[in-house]
Amino acid sequence: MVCTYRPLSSVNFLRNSLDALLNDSSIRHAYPLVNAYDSTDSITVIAKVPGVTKDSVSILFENGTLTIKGTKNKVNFTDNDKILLNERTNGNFEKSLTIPVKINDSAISATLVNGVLTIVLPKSDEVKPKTITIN
Amino acid sequence: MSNDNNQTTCETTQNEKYFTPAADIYTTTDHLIAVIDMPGVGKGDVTIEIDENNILSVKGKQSFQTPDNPVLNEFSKGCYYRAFSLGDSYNREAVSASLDNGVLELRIPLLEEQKPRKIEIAV
Repeated sequence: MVCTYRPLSSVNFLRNSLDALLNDSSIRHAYPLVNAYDSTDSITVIAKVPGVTKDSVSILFENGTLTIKGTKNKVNFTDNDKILLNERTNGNFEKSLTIPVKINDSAISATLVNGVLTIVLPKSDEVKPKTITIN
Repeated sequence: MSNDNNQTTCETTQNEKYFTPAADIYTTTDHLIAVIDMPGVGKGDVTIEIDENNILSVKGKQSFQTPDNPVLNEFSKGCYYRAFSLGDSYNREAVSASLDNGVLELRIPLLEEQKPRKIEIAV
């Protein structure tokens, strides 16, 4: 059989597979799943923490590292219960993120709504972009 | 602690992304209880249906706001969908649901005639 000679086809295949792997959002990350967003005056970190209450989670910011730590309670099964499916995670969790810009520590705020934790880290004035006016 | 299950599958043929939420399901002596992790879903964003074949389906839309310019992306926003076959032993008219901190709990009572009962021996 005659086929087109494509010397790079296997290289491209490898590259495409690697790209697909790296872009795949289903790759598992340590709990909780976290997204971070960068804007001119703050960094926003959003973590999915279903079933975690305000009292069972703590947020720590130290030396440029943000740590989210807490406990997710499990269902209290009794001896008479028959468990059909047990997929939900539970137990203690801890996750740290390095924040690479200077943060105004005293102005960090956090909210917890419907199991979504949103932490806003305002950037320090010295790293914010400045507009320079021409004299 | 094991990894999160929230995003094992994602249906992309629809307009929005659908994720399969992690669930715990168990039966007590008189109820079937399903506990489903749905972070980001508010009370108004969830629909629970039981169709004529006793298939219970749960759909929820994540409603929280995200800023622009993501620098770290471990999850994407979308909808949750999960369906379970209930069988005939449960009272489909009496399902109760509560949503607390992004966790949906459904309680479905056993039909009265299916409940365990004690039979007294007549003297």
